Amino acid sequence: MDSMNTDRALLVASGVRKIYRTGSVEVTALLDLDLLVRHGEMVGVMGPSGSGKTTLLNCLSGLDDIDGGRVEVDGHDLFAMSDAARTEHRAHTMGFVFQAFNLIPVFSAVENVELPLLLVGTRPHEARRRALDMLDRVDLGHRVEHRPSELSGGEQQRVTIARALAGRPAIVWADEPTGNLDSAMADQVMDLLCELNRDEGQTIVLVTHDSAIGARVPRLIRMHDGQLVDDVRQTATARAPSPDVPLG
Amino acid sequence: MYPNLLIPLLTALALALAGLVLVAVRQPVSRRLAFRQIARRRTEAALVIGGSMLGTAIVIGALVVGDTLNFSVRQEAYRTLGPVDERVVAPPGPTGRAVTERLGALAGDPDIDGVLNAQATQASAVSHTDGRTVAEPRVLAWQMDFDKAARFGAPGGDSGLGGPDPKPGQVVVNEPLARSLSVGAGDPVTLYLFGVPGTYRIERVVPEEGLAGVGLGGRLNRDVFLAPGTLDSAARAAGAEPRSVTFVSNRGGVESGEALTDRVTADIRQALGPLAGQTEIETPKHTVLRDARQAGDSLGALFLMIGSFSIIAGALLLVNIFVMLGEERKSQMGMVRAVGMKRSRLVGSFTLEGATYALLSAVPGVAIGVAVGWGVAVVAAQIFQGWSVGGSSIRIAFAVTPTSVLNGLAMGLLIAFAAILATSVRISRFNIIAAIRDLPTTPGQRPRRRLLAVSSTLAVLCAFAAVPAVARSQPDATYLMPALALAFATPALLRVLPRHTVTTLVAGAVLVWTLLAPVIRPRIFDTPSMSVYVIQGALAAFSAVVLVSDNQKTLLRPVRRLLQRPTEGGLAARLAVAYPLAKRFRTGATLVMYTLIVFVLVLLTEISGILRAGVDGVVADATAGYSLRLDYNPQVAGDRLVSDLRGGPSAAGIAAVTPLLNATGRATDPGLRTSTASSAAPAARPATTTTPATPSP
Ligand SMILES: Nc1ncnc2c1ncn2[C@@H]1O[C@H](COP(=O)(O)OP(=O)(O)O)[C@@H](O)[C@H]1O
Ligand SMILES: [Mg+2]
Repeated sequence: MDSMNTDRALLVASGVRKIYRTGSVEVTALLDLDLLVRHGEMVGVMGPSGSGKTTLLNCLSGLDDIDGGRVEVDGHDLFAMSDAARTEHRAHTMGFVFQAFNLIPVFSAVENVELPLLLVGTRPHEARRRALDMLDRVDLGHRVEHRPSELSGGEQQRVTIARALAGRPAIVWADEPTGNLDSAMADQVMDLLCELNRDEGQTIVLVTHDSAIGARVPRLIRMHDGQLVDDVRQTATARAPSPDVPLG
Repeated sequence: MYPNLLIPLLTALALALAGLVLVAVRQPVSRRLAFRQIARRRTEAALVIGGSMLGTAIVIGALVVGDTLNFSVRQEAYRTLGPVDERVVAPPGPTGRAVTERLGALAGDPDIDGVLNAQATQASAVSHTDGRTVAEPRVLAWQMDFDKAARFGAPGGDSGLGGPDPKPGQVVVNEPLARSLSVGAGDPVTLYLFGVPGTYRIERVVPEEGLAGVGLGGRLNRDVFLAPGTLDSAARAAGAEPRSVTFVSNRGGVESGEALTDRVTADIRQALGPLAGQTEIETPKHTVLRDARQAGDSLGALFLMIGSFSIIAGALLLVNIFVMLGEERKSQMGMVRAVGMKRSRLVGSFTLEGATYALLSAVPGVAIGVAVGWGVAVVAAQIFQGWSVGGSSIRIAFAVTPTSVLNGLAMGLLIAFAAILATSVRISRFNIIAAIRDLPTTPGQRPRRRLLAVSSTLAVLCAFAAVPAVARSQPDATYLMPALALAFATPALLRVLPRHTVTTLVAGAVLVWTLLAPVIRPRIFDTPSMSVYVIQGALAAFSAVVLVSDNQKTLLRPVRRLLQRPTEGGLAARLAVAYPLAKRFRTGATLVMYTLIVFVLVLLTEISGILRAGVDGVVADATAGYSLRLDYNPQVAGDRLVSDLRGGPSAAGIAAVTPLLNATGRATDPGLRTSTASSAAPAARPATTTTPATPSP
């Protein structure tokens, strides 16, 4: 993504509300939340446990249903679409990295990576080539035929990142991508994500509760009880809070 | 069995397979996912293959039982009737001779390859072996040309009777007669021909095959074949006449000749001309074969009824295994959906996987089904052996027709496909996030409008269809229509009532109707069809299990104290019920399986109880309270037997002796087209047997 795009809004969420109902108990996990993410941004989401970070990611990506509000990604209202259309839209514009790696155990690394490509109709040869490229990019060129059970945690998470990026999605959602990794591996993964954002302008929304990771992202938002309480831009060297109104 | 089902079943199977091939070709990702799961998950594969094997095996087993019975009776018919396709019986006297003469013209008929004239009379026989006197009151004495008999229908195979004519004073007897008199070749035997005794030497004993087993309609014939002229002279001496019987063999072999029966019967009628009204034209082979087909079909249907519960249980097992597979793979399936696989593709993948298991199970399923059929046939053979009278039981010969195998295969596969497709649709409907994080799925949303419209329309239609069905006591529809109407009304009810209430209401109503229907409409069981039991059982089992599983909390309330004790036992009990309570669908499916098994056991016990109770009734009806029946030839024994019994040494033990006379009569229809033999008792002129009987004290 080149700098021409940087000012265009990629994601516009307004008044998003999410209520979990378990029996007669209701938990409001998101309360009238507004957020704008532009092309090429890397946004970190921090907050105490249970503040709604994961819910935000799930709802804004359209993986989960919402109880109110509107989410537009790349100009399309996610919840105005049918499930099939939303799935198709998701396949074309989004990539996902979760804490539990969620690879398909019966597929090899390269097959896992090419899966989203094949789902959007890429020709098998082309998909395979791009998947191998992507695995090279995450330093797993020597592990392409291994199955997830034959890979270490860090390697698995790098495969997930390769899978999330293989289709060149407009936005990558990452929920605690380093949560299951030791610190060395976590650094590796974070380096990779930051590099992708810096060099290729990949838009990334990353949920974390680790302040060391939070310190590395250019834009950091904080959540509390389902609401945004802080939104700051930081440079790589110093954390300089900059007033930023998320919604125009 | 069921050749008429073959085309529709194969068509349905072809369509299903075409659909699967289409999915496999059009959805390469679904295909890859499906085949990878199969290749890498051997245990799961084995489980599903086992489940779908069951259905195919049971269907094929039931059909093979039908085949075997059908084939056994046919074989018996071919063996005992040999080349004889039609039998023309004329009354004694000049008519008989005229009939014989007219039938001679048939020799040139291209549809016929044998015409054989014979004379016959009812006789009785006595033998003295080892100082014991043995009598056989029902003997058929025949006089025919052995040379012509040997050539009768010869192009189609052995006629059953051949060799030289017996010399004067000698006879040939068939095995059943030799057995009942305990005699063999060379032994003397006394025959009462037209009431006059004469002693003959047995020249040889022949097996009761083909012409050597012929009779006049009985199933077991004890035949004696006399030297040429013997019967004529005996008749002349007694001032009587034997009956003329003409056997006709259709062109072709023992089996293929049967197809010409209708044409040849018409030819015979034409040849007889005006005499047709006074003769009987019988088609023994055709009749026996038709009966065989019916017996095979109805026994096969009985096994299919019992089997259909196992088929339902097998399908549920399949559903269960598949739900388990889905649950186990929930988080990866969630991920596949997250990265952009549409729900329909996921259904396609699951269906392809399941269908492949089903196809893999087809061959072993057929093999097991055939083995099951063979096992049942062996047991059936023993039962029939037990029923046999005088060695007349049919021999069970195992048989499998390609029609049955194809029918069973198609039916088994279609059932498996349907179960798999339905389950795939169900397990693919999950919330992606809940699946990825392996959370329990939240109950579905309110029904969509289109579903609501369709189901409500169906509910109304079923309710309308239920009215005439119940009014006329139609067996299947009386159960099914109201139940379907209730089930289809569920989405509409969900709009106004909470889910729990609706489920309990619908399941309860269906259960009550299943139990009440036979009380309100007792005539629904007045049908030879077995399907009503299947429908009743399935409805009762499903509705009861839904009711129980929907109210598990209430049902467990009495034992809650027990479960919540802070002891080790209480903890163990809580753990034991926790899983089944949480996995409601799986527990329900398992419960239905067990319920159906118990239902079948109860049903079988009931059926055998009814049969056993029926035996006493049948015995009472058939004996009219008498315990013994003595058959004898009145021309020989006269009335002395009755007075001997009344005044003899056993008189004290006998409550009553009643002579019963019967004779063969003849009735014609007004148009003189047919004539049928029938019995009348007592008759003016007793021809054959008198039957006294003694009532039990
Ligand atoms: N599936 C769920 N069912 C019910 N409540 C939930 C569910 N998921 C999350 N919650 C609740 O919603 C709130 C926000 O959760 P979450 O978004 O996971 O927080 P975070 O990711 O910040 O730890 C919490 O109170 C949590 O208990
Ligand atoms: Mg979280």
